[in-house]
Amino acid sequence: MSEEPGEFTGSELLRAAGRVRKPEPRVLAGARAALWSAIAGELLGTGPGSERPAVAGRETESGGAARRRQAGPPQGAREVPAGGGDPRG
Amino acid sequence: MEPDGVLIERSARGCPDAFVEVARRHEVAIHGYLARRAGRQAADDLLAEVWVRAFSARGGYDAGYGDARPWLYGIARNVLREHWRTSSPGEPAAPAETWADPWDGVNDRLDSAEEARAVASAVRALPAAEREVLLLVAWEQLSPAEAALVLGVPQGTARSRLHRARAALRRVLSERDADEAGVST
Repeated sequence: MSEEPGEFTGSELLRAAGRVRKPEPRVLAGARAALWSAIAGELLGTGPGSERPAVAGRETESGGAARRRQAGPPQGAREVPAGGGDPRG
Repeated sequence: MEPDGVLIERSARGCPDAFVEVARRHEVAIHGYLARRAGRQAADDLLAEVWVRAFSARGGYDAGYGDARPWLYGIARNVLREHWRTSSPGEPAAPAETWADPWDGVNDRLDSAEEARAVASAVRALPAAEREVLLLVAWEQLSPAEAALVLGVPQGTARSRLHRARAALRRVLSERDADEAGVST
């Protein structure tokens, strides 16, 4: 099945509709600062991720709700099926 | 360059700051995803939440997936859903139609208002599930297989949704072009 974005009518219009300006550097830096804060919290044993890390690809009992919801690529959105509908399509 | 999966695994095994490189690699793309769907201001606010959640969830990441984008888009998708829920607490629950409708800013992003209307109406007419796959591929430049990971659906499902969405869009835009040709002759 040929499914490259450029191969169907309207693809350029569609891509143009999705064009957005790059974020300001300060926005990216601010988001990274929040990440650093979480990292520091873990290193100091005070953050939400400060419990013993799980082996990649596996879950732990102590992982917390966020980890259970969002562990690994296939589970990134498993909490919410596509469009809120039936995940089986 | 080390794959994202290696960095994430390392960050989960005693070197948490390795995760920052993953964020650096994908921050513009994830911000763009958020901005296209919720607006620039909301994207500015929500990006940090995506990183904190991803960092918190990294222990369960399967390092066999070298590219973390589908996983990160999936987390961003959930962050967006919560954003919509909390920003419109009194609204009736219609998340599938509400959160997946990223068209508010489209008029500003296309040169021609007429083009914007045509594309927006064609895509709006799609079922939400088909629209979401289409936009993940067209806007985020994901493959159908990667879009399937984001959405947590089988690859075949994502492919068939994409196929239907493209066929519908092609049909609508072709009809529009034919109408315009008829008017101009």
